[in-house]
Amino acid sequence: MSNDAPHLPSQIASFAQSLTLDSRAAAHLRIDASGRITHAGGDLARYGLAENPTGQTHEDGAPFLVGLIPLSARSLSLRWMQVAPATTDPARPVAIADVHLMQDGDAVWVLLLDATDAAAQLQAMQQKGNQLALERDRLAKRIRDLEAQIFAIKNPQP
Amino acid sequence: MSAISKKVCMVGAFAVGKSSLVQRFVLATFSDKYITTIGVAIKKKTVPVEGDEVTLMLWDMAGEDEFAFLQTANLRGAAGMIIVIDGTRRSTFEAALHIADRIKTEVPTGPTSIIAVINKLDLSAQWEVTEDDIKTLEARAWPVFKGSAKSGQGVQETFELMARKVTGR
Repeated sequence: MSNDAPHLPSQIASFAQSLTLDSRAAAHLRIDASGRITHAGGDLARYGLAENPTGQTHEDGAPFLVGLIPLSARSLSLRWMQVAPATTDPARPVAIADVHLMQDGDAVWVLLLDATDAAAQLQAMQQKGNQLALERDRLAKRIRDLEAQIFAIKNPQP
Repeated sequence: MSAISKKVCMVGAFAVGKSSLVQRFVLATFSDKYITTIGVAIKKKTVPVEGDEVTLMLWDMAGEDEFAFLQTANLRGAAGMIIVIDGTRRSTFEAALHIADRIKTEVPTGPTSIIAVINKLDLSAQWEVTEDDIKTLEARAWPVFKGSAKSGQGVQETFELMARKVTGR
């Protein structure tokens, strides 16, 4: 058994690839050494980006990359990113993306994969957990205040 | 006039008001409804700084809690960081120090311009964060703002100072 990437039968590899690309609305960008977008494709509009930012600087066409280009590592993966502000059109919500950056010579490829469903599930759980934690803190504070009042009543100042 | 873009991260414990501060600064609005941020929501706003246009790319990051830790990879390439504390919950002051220390360790090339904001000044009668706590923050050479996303107090000043700091003005 080697530690290299598994040699999958081509049918499985092809199925896995289409599974990812079909179900997660892949979109991509290529940023050259000067910081300009040289390739763009996929459903960029889903993530709130211009459909064809080719030729623009990444600061203009994909401003979420500010600070990340040039890439300081061979690759970088960032989870659950809303890379552009939500639109006012409720029929066109901005998707949450898992963002992967990969160095390729002097250029950087950027891959966006839709993670909206997973993020929404986590958001629902996290929301509930955080609200419970806030309520617990509020109750603890109330108990501390009451204990202080009881202490003051039992130990009146002369 | 030149255009400059800088990445600035909002960090802190959960429910301290990071998203509300960004919303107040970018959209000049406020909502009392608490909505947990998952991952990162990026917004931007351009502010004039000494004749230049400085675009702040604001990374509004999920708050840290008992179950979800800050994803320090998100700090890569950030020029600035705003650490947000809820004045009414002292635990968020301790969380802020812990988060800052962890970022310093895990992201050595992380943001060098740091500002602390103690939010919820509109509830100042309920504050648990003390003047001694504020001195502790200032001892780290962080400018400290008391502000309120609800009233807007201190918000513009915070981001404008950050715009100056990340451009070395």
